[in-house]
Amino acid sequence: MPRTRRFGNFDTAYACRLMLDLADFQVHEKITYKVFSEMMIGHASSAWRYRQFILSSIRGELKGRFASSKMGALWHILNPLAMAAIYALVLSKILGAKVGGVENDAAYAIYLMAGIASWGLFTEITLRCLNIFLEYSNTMKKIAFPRVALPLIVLGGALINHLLLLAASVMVFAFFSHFPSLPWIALPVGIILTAAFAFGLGIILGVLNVFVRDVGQFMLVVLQLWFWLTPIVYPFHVLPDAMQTIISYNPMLPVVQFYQDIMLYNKWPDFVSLQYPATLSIVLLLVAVFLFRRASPEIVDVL
Amino acid sequence: MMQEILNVARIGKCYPTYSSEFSRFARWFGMPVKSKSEFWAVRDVSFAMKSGETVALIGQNGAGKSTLLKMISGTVQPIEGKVHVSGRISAILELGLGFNAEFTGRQNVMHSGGLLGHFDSELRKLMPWIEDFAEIGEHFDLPVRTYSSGMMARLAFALATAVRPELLIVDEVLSVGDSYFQHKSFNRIREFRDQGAAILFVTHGMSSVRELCDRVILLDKGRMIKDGQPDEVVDYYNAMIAEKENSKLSIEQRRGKEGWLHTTSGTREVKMVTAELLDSVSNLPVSTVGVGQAVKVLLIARASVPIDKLVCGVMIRDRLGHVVWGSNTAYTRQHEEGIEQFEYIEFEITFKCDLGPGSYSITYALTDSESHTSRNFEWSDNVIIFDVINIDLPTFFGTSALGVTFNSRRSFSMTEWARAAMTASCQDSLNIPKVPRAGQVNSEDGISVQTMHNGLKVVAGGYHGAWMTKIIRDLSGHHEPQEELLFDALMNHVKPGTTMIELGAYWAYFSLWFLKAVPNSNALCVEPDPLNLQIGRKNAELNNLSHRIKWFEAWVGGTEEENHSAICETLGELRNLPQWNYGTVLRQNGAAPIEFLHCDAQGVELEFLKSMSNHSAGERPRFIMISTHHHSISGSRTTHEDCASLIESMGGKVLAQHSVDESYSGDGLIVAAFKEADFGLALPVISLNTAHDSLFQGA
Repeated sequence: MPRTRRFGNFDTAYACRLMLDLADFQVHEKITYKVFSEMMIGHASSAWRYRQFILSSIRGELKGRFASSKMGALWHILNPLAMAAIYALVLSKILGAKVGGVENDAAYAIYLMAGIASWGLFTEITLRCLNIFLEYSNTMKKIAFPRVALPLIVLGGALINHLLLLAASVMVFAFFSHFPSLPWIALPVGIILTAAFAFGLGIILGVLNVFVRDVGQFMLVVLQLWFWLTPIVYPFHVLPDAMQTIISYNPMLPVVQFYQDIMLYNKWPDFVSLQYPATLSIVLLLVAVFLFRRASPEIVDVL
Repeated sequence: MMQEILNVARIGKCYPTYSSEFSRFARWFGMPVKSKSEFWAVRDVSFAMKSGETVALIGQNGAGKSTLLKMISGTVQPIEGKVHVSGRISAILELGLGFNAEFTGRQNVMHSGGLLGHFDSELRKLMPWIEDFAEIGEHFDLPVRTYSSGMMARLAFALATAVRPELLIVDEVLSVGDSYFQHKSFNRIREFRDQGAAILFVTHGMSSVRELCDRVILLDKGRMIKDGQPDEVVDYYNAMIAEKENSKLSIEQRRGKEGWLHTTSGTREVKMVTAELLDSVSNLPVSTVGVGQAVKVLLIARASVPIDKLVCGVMIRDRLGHVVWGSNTAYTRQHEEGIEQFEYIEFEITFKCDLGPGSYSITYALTDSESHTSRNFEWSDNVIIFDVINIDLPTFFGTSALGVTFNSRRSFSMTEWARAAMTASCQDSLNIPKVPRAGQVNSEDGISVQTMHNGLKVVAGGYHGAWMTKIIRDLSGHHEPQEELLFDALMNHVKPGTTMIELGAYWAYFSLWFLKAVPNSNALCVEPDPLNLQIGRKNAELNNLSHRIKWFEAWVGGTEEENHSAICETLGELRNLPQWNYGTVLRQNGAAPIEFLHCDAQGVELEFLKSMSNHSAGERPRFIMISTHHHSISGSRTTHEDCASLIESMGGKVLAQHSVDESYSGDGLIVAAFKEADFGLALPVISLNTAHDSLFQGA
């Protein structure tokens, strides 16, 4: 299967240095490696100190979201499964045959499931981070606590959901006589990368959304488009060449393919292709930390 | 050792507005961006607090109080200046913040406690105390979404104050919850203060400011206007509010020799020329007044310009600044109108000085309406100072001479009110169904009427008096719990269209109950006391049951007599009336079967029962309910037992009973049936009193 690795030689270290040099422009203080590492230690230690609150908030989120529904948290898993089932039902005739390479009637459904699982983790973290500061505005105004706790609650909740969904998928796959094999042990790499990418992006957008509320609305549209620009519903190779070139810029492409390789094809995924989204994730996380530092005192002012 | 807890040094908070939010973002990345406008919520505020000190922050809305509190508690970052706190801060800005509605109270203590920065182990240790202090019982283990706002406040306050902080910040949140918990909360805060915590709170209640605080800080438009003693700052604040409406006003403050603070404000369009406190009789100025002495305040004002309307207000304050009394000529509808230039207006305020010993002040105000914010001509705080001394009354404390007298009595016998409490302590009637408003007293057509548990209306106090009204109120419409429990059960068994006989009917309540419960039934009531009988008739009238009752004035006893003389209960004099025995009852009732006979015949119950034993089994009532009396009334120590064995020997069966000593009212009671079919009837079990707690205390 053709792969495009346009950003294969991206220099991660260079990108980081570039970011920090950029940060040097600002007036309040110089963000050096030392300041930066102190910031990170500060975030980590306050997150550790408030672990009780973070953990119980995660539990509260899982409990609260479906408190009044009979099946509770089961909906978390049923929703994406149903989505996959619907696409499979509607599109299997058109696209099903194109997902070659596996001798299984449910190949297309499994393909869908892999993509949706990866995409679901990405959007859940991004969208929830987008609104998390607004959700907790009253608490932030009246109680002094480390704000880094808020995105961590989102991250934790989303990861648990994701693991539950993967477990459910395995059971559904087993129903179609499709069983996990050794390459599945590489899945955590994909999970961590997806989460890191979404986390960085989510915090940046979340901070901006506090000041310009249009960011949230705009992102809803962007994510819709992004979904269709990622080979989740259709296989990458059915696209015309021109389109393939454009879509290879999509950082979610290698991530989704990573999931699909493991979950559908049961083969070792392409680790090298992850270099682009990984680098981008690091850059986004650095920007996020920087932005968070700058904006933090002003967040409460505008809430 | 007074340690400095909080030091606020020239802090300020500015909220800039940018022409676009992108300018704000650009500024983060170091671009030199000018904000479009700036709003300083707080600027240049400095103060310090020592341990054990209580400071109130006052000011109008938008004065910057909340912003200042938030900067001290750390949620808002100051733009300039520094806040230094030594030790733990606890800020109660809103109760119940951070609670998860799905979690139980206990889980929320862990959850929200974590948010407040407490450690796991710490919270686990505090849990029993929090549960105890919140006093929400089993709700502690139910989801918070099921809580009332009061319960929420209790839990939140308990959590917020579980650990003693060095600095406690309280925004006006303690106005939630019931007064019991408010009181408890304030005590908790005082406890902290006594242990050395500094308390900083925001309030609008000026009376609590004077009471609770050592110092008051007044903020206005973000600036600190005053920082000083409570009376000084609060009076200044009041004058300042008046000033907002009155640009020509000026404020003067000075502290008098005795420590009283004089604050004067106003436009001076009308000015007080003189203010004196005089003895009413001699008209001489006084500065020391005896408790109860008649005095008057003489105020003379002069207008410098024509005034449409003038109101004069006067207020008396005690040493702590609490208003003891205050009113004005707008409230008394005596305001003056159409005052001309240079006219004098004289006010004389006469009163009897029923104040407690101590120092008091008089404040006056000249305005154009009842509130001094509309137009304030002159408002002067604490102008006249006078001392009240107690010359000839027994020592008392407080600020009011209420003319209270003590009366005490000692006795071993139970008074009526003590009996009322004893009867009301019986729980037997608790589960008998009740109408809404049962036990309440209402006025109907000019008379007080009390509603019984079954909806029957009776003349309030008609049966024995006010203490019985209390019993009926306390028991929600019952007066003899044991007897009523049994009567209520029997009403499920009596047949329609039958007759009830009530001997010693008095207020005829049981007959009325019978008539209400049993369709097409009749009653025959016998009562020797004319006043008591009148009560019974009135009660029947109130419930439209008169037409179903036949009334007789007669004594009850063992023999039938034309003319029997006995002392009548209410009149206390001999009365000649016919005396009835069971034969008379049968004859007067005619052929109708007697379903229920209720007999409360002051001590002659045994004789009456004997007259019943002379009649054949077929002529006996189906059920009887007999009150048996104490030996001081009946003359025999075995009346109760004798009555019971006589009934058994007649072939009846005692279904339930309690002796005089076991009664929660006064008399013993026997409930019996004479028809074999009823012998197996299961009646509810009544509770029994103990002899030394009963009316006659086992004597």
